[in-house]
Amino acid sequence: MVRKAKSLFPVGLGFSLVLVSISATALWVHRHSEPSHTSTIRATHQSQDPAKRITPEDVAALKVEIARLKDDKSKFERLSREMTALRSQLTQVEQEQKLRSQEEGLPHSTGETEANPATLTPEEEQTRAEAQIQTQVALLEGTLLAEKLDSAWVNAAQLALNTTFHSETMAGVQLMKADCRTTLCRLELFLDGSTAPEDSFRKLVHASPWEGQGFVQIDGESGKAVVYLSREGYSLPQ
Amino acid sequence: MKHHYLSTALKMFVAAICLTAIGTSQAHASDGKVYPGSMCVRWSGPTPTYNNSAIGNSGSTTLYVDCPAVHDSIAFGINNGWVKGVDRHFASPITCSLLSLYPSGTGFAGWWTSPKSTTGGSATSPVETLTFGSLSSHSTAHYYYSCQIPPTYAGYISYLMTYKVDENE
Repeated sequence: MVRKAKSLFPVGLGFSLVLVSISATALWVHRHSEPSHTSTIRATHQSQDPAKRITPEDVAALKVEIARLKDDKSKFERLSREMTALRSQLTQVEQEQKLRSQEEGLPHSTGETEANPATLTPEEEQTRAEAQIQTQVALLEGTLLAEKLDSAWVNAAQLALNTTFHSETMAGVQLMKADCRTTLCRLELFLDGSTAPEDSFRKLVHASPWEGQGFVQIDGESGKAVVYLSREGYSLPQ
Repeated sequence: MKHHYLSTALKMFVAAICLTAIGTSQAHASDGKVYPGSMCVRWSGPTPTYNNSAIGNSGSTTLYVDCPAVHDSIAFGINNGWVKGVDRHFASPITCSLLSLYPSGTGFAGWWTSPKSTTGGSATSPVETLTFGSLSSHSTAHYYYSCQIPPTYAGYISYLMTYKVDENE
């Protein structure tokens, strides 16, 4: 009974997330579908007297309008980030439910009978592992995008990262880009090939700029690596 | 008759409570295993010293070791873990991180916890425990601690004695 309840919980959570995201979208669309009163008045006024010169009041009104549009843009971006986070969380929930079904040897909700992990072929296991990695990355990415900027911490974190990656111990590892928000940083690194990827991993672990959890995905061929670092006192989302 | 129904209902209620309790305890179970320090493998530094299945550093430079832990075919990820050691160096601690690594294509994916260090550093330092929280991972990644053991100090040897990893189950 408990197991059934536990397996139903992610489904409920998934539905809740979908409902929340739909509501957020509907509210946003409703708000933005209302015509802008200010711009309607100005358009009517200008069509009646096209030769009229632009007055300081017009400029002021225009500035207000621009400010409002900027505000709308930032709200839209925030909503987009939240939608991305919700989508990734939903993916995570679905993935976890599928994996739990696999691990318990239960048929998946689609009706198909999946093999127990102990009986997976190496290819199936590989596919499963890659899917887990992608889920992990999607979760980290979604969480980062949904976070607001903590300016004070972002500045301190950027400084610490620059110091770390310009130190001698990190020779061969270049910091290309860093994006920090509230509890999480995403780093794009380039490994110049002077050290093996395994050694770069050791460097990352031992030279972390602060005490936190980390996740890295390294492509040895291209030398590109993406690192997610949690803020001190925080854990990576699981 | 009514008494019989009440009795049956009560029995069913008690049984449901018991089953729920058992199910909950199973769902939150974890699988902890303790390993001797001698299972650690040197990857850099001087040749290790072994004593009662603890691994020590009798050299004059830092010893770097990896200490593997079993990943069973159960739910992936680590619940928690610890490392016990004796730090006899007055300035350099024993430092460890808990890691998980998965080779993938031409590269790999890895997870790690921030390093933890001992605070002792005297000839009579007691055994210290470095504790670690949860760690993400996935089904075929392997688990290990990566540790640094300081060199001898005035003839005193530091040891990594034992370690534990508690897997999610």
